[in-house]
Amino acid sequence: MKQMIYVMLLFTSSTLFFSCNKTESEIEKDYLDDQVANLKTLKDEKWIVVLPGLGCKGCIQEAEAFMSKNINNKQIFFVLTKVESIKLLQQKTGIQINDHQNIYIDNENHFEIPSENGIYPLIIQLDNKKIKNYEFQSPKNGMAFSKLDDRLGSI
Amino acid sequence: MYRNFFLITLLVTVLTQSCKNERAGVSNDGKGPFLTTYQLEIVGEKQFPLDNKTAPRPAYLQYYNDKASGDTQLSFLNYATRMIYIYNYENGMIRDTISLNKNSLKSFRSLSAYYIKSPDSLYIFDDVGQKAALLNSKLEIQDSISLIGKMNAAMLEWTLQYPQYFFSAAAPILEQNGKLILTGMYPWAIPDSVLGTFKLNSVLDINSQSVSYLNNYPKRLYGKEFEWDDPFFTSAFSDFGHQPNQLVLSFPISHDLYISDLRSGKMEKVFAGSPDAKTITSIGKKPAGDKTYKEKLTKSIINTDLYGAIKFDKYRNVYYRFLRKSLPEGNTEKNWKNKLLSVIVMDPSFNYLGETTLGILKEWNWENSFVTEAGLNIEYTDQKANNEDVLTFKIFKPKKKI
Repeated sequence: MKQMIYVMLLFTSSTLFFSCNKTESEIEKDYLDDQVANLKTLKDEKWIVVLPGLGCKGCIQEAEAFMSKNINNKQIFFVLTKVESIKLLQQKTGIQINDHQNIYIDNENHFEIPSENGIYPLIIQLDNKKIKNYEFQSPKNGMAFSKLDDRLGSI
Repeated sequence: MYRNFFLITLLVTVLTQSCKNERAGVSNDGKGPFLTTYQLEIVGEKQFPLDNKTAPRPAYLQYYNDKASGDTQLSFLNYATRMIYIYNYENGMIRDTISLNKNSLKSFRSLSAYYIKSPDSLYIFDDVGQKAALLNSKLEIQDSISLIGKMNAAMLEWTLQYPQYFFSAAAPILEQNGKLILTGMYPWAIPDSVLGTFKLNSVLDINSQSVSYLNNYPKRLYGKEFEWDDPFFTSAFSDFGHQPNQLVLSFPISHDLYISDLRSGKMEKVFAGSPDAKTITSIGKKPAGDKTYKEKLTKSIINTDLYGAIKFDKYRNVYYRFLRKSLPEGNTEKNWKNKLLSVIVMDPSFNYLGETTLGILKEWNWENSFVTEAGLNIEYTDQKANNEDVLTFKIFKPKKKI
């Protein structure tokens, strides 16, 4: 009986200890899984591009250029989060937001990633509405949108 | 049996504490009385039409009396297009625009604020070069002024010595006795080694164009015990007080206001909090490699009462202090812009007169607030209408409760 209690204590303590120490990518993945599952307007798109209105300026400009070029691509769903101004975004991208059903305006900042990567645009690859992979366009990963452009071109 | 109980208790204590990062808190020691004798009421609205390159929530604005025309004017900066828009405050009609795109101004790469002193005297501020310039009516540079002495803005050493400015109407450029007062900050956890030397406020002498510095962060708020590690906690907001040479400073994490004498730099504190505000607790400095800090920080911002701008209303002889109210325990909110904004009204002795909750921060942009003869103007964005073609201010006055 005593041994059983010690085993249980050890198991509980291990679980509690490790629950406090998730890695950054685990935190991001868990969070994004929930947000993607709640994205009601998602159809059969293969990619989600999350474009923050605030953050890394150069990275966001890359994302805006990508969105301008690919807005009519039915494989991509765009999420606009932390939007400061739809009016100015429309002007920069040349896109009338309301004309496109593959855009979701995230007014409640559900897609504000709870990590330091929240300042970067995000590319999510989907498989049957589940996250298969994701990466950020950041100074350390400056080719993310170019790579996606290439992949879309080859499909 | 007792041994097992002891072991379980010990383990649970150790494990629950390992998930926490307990820090000191700033308690609310207000004794009152907190009798609500005044409440803010909306008495009017001002609207200013925007062009197709400009959105509401401009980064910086200035309300002022135009000495040439005698009119009151509202101006604001569109920092993306480097344009200042000037409106007649009374009728809401645009009067003028100033383009800061001249080649001679290109070295002022990131315009963060401006100060219209007169039609022939415009100061502009660059938050990359950490410098200011005085321009004449032809936008020719009359003086270029470093805000970081002889230090190089490209090397970050200056950040330990000189304030950084997040200018807004809540931390505005103020003018008194031939001096411009700029309130800045140390945005992250300020090292104890510089806490005693780092100054928050810069004083730009209009005659000599020289800059001096005033006021440290209060040690009892920003010492190592706390280590506030984000501008949400380290910002400072300011306005002139009801007496000459008084600068009133509001720190987000303090229930007190700090009143600085601009001649001596001495600061005194006075209680100016909300009776509803709770202890404001630091989550501490970001530990190296802690990947969960952003999440903790967001929760802390949502779950903590944070004070905002302080405004003195010379027409009604009252102070207004803004408060971003904490959400109740156990909330699941993820967006701090859904916190409620309230305004505390105080008399010139900082006695509590009342507090009015306006609504959520998404709707009420307290950083664009200013006082006019008509009342306290606060930028309002109707979330349902989502009209980005007009800049709207609601105007409030304190009304005595019957």
